[in-house]
Amino acid sequence: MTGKSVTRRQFLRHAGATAAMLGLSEALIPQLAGALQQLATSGKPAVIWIQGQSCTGCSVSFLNSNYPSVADLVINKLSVRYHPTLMAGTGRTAVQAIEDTVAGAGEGQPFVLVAEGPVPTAEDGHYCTFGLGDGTKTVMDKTVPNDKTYAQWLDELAPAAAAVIANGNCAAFGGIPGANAKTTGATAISEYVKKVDAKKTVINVGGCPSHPDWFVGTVMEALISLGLLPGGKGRLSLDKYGRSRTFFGQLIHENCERRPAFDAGLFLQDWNQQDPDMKLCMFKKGCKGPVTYADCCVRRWNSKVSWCVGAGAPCHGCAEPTFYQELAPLYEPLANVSLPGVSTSADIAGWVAAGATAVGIGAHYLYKQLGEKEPKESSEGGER
Amino acid sequence: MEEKNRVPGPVRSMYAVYLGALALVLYSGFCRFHPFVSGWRYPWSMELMNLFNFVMGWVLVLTAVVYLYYALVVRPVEWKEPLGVFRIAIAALTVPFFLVLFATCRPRGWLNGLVNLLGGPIRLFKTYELALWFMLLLNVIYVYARWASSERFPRLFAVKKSE
Repeated sequence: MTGKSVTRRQFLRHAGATAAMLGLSEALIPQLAGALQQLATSGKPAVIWIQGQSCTGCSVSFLNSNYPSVADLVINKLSVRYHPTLMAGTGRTAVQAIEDTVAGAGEGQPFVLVAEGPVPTAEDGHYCTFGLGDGTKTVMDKTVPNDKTYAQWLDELAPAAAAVIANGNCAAFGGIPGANAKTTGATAISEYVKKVDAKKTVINVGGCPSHPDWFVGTVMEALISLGLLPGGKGRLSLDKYGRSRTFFGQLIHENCERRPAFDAGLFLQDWNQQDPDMKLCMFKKGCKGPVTYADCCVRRWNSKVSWCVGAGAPCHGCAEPTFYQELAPLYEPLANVSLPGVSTSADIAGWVAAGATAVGIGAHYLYKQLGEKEPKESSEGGER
Repeated sequence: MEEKNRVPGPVRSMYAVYLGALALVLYSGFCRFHPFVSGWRYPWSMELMNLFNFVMGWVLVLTAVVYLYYALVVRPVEWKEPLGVFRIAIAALTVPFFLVLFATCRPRGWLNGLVNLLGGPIRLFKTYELALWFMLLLNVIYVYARWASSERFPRLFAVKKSE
């Protein structure tokens, strides 16, 4: 700190601001201060960031981290040894960085593995490879080294890592590649790592992409809770899907800026009705906010500028394990009636039931009319 | 006909109030969901409609409870009417329907536990729409069945003696 001309007071203010920006509890500030101090001086935790079936969107989102900035994080706070998008090194130099880090883990220098994208397991995992593996193969009459699959990398790295962070919905839950998993055998990181090392801690960060605060905050929480940084070993509060409750503990619907419209029954029925003053609820246009746990509505995106609903688009539920397969079509309302083989809205279910009732009543009426040849005796009084 | 249907006056009144309140509850309730009504345009008008829904819900359930008391406890001997059990079942179902209505209108009220039990506000919201459809169709079926079991069926009104 002295070397960087930062006073203790300034440093604690920085730690407090960081905690506030990340939305972490104030109780974590002393721990965070200790962690940041440790990060800034020595022993920066090593991070290996690998990409599988991903679009690199989560990496790009990570680049939007603004407090601390991504440059500060990558260079000063964390020691990101391998990241296919950010690193300068290529080829053997890049892979060597992974091997050195893994070797260092055996010598008491732990690292955190960040996985972006699920694992393709079909076709022996050859849908996704980087680096070179053992042995050779023949391609167009030439003998070349075997490719090393993403799955093989995970087999090697996951047991050695102090923790595995599945960053983004695809890595955490399968996401878009997992929506048609039979093609590539896309498997969520937590499921795959469970087969490799059942006791390994896998922390999920939802989102498509993940919010930079969610990722950075979860990494900080993980480092502190795992005891990789000073400040005491704590217990990471995760929900049943392995997500940090700090970021995924609230229902979007509860804090949505359009919630009053929902409560009042004011729904957007037609996209042409978009009236910025009305802020109509988009539930009937496919908003998945009512089933999505995330803090987008209070945290917002792109330096707190806006978020999906704020920009006039329905929430797609990208932080949820059910995204994408079960929440698609994205612009169709959530099903009200879910039975085996049937999933529909209450409106449709109601109309079908009304039709069935009308048919039943009509059939009964006709049956009675055609069946009764003799007119019934009329009645009087007392009857209704 | 030796046995004629005899419906006491209080039962007629109660059922008339029940049907009237039900119609208003269904209309104001469906205004939230717009399956066939467009709903009201502005927040204040929708809020008024929701309040109306809530008040009519109270009228509905209180009428149903009084009807249940009258049908199960008082039970006048001259009361002879087909499908009595069906109507008692409808009145009994009105009570849970009202609980769903109340929880929907006042999700943070004293039925907050029910809101959580049914999976939160949004699931309750969907349950309420289904409950509206259910009550609508159940009562349509009852009204038809009651008409079909009456002696005037298939006429709408009883033929006068002079005819």
